[in-house]
Amino acid sequence: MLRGFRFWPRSLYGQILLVTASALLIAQSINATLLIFGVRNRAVSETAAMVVSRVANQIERLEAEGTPVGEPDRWFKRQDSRSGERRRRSPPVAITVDTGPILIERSDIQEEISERAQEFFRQGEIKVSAVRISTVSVKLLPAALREAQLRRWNGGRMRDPNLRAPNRAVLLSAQLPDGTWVNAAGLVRPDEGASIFALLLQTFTLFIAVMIPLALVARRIADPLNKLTQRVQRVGLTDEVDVLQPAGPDDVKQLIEAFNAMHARVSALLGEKDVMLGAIGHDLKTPLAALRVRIESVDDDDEREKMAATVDEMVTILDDILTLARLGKSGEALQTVDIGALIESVAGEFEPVEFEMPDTRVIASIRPVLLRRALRNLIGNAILYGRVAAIQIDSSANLVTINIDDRGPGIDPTQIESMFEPFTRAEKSRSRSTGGSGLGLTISRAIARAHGGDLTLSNREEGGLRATFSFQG
Amino acid sequence: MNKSRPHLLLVDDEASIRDPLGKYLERQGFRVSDAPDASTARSMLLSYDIDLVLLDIMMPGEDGLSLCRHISANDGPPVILLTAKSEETDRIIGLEIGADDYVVKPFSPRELVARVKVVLRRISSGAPKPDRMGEVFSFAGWTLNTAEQSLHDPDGVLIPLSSGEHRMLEALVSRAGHILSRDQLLDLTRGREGGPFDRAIDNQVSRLRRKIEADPKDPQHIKTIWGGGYRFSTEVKRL
Repeated sequence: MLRGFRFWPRSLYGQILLVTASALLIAQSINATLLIFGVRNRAVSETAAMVVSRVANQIERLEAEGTPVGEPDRWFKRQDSRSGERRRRSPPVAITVDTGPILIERSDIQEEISERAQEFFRQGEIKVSAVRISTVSVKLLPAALREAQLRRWNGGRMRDPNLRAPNRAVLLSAQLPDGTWVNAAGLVRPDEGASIFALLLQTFTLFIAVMIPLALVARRIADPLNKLTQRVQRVGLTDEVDVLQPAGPDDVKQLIEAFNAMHARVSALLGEKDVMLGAIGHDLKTPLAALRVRIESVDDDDEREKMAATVDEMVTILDDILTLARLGKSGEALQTVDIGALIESVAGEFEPVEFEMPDTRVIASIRPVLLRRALRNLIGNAILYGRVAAIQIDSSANLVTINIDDRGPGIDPTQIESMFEPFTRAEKSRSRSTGGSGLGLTISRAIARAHGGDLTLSNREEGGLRATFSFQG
Repeated sequence: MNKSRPHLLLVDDEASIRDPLGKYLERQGFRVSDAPDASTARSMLLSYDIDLVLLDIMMPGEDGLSLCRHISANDGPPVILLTAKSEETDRIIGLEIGADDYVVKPFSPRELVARVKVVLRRISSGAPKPDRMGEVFSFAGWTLNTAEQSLHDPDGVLIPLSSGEHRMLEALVSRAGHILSRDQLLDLTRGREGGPFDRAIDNQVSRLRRKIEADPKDPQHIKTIWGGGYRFSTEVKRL
């Protein structure tokens, strides 16, 4: 499902980073939301506490001075007489005594804070009832509760330009024992921009603190894995025996060590195979060589020739088997070769061959001894089974194609693929006198594939068989 | 060394080859001593006046290449290597360490005798080792390496030649500036197997021209000399 997603990275490295970054982003968003609400609630609580304690102070003080609680003028006087210093430090609170509570329609009643305020008043034995605390928009406050406060606030802003204008206020209404109502309002300190900035900074710091080490760790895993992949892809294509240095966390290290051990075992097996084939080759050739020498003591010329031919044939088969078995480990270097000249140099060994050197040279990087061997097999087959070899060369788009056509009967199409099986001949009944090991096509196809091409056989419409030998230029 | 019976030293660890081959060579008129390993061969080289050594490469103990190097470094008799491998590298190494020729096992004893005679004839005539045992010619940016039998064009591209074409080009290049008649070329390019050269000289030259001339109809390197034959006209340097 995730694979369908356009931005889903395919690498382990990308996936780890993307998933972690996304998770961090989501967690930080939730955090930020909670933080902003928390800050806001705390500001409201603080202001409410200030309003409540100021109201309680005023009531206590007035009672102590014996002044009737309900006299509005005294409230203000007391308030205004406070020193400027205190005024600045405390959030402004305005108090009025009215005949009823100030009820504002669009206000949020703070039930919890109201209850705590009632508890506070009861413990202080301050006789108020119907305590009600709500938050309202500053704009909706009555002028008596608003103007003086905003003035003071603005005065504060003169000294501290960063202070923002408040837009919320806490409104307290409570009934005094004489039936009048005290209404008090305090401005809620606005959210500070700095807290948002701090949040962003925190998020950024978190990203750096998490993502950089994570990226390093993910690299430490992904890099050795990628190197291992590249190394595994080359196994068998080259004779490289170099050991991949184990790197990364232990799990990855162990994987690389296990691969190295496996590679060593496989190389040892292949090496044994080569040694064994070499030994077989040598050990069979020595008695063949001895036989070949002894044949000369046969007096019958005809018989001697036939015996020599048989020995030669055995040597050919042996060479073919060794070539096929060792093809992947050919020690021959790639050379830049004129392919037309190569074909002609092979064609010159056969009769009859139809081949014209192309006007523009076809040049490719190949192993000439192997390619010669393949062409020799194909041209030899064409002449053996189809009387003549007609060769064309074609090169396009990095691929060189050599067609070798004969004028023979062709091959039953259902038999074509089996022709590439080792030890298969076109006609089972044909005696071995036609020569060859039955490995010719197998070897030629293996050579084509070792050069990034292929060998295919097809019956031509005008009759005869076509061998198409291709390789990368 | 105009002895009636040249003395050959046959060095091979395989008695199954040494014995019948020794007998065959004796029937062909040679005097034959044999040695199963390199150290025996060394002492025999000191005690006898050997005319030619037939030397197996793959032997236990000191191998044939090492012994060949020793013989060559001490101005010993000519060496023909007997090798079980036919890979090019073995051949080149063999020639570079001073071998005069080689045959690949299993070889035809007749062919071996023919080669022995060629080498002995060359030695007795006092001729140096033939050029094809590893000379490099250069002409107009082209490089002809006779040991590797390779021809590279000025861009370094390998231009494969058949062995006949190679012998022809080598004959022409090594005698650059001289006019070679068709008969001379036929002699020079005869295969070392000694069989008659079956392709007409003119045909061979025209194939060569298609490979090395920019315009085969107006050849710059291989010129036809009216009534004479052919001449390689480009300046040739021996490297």
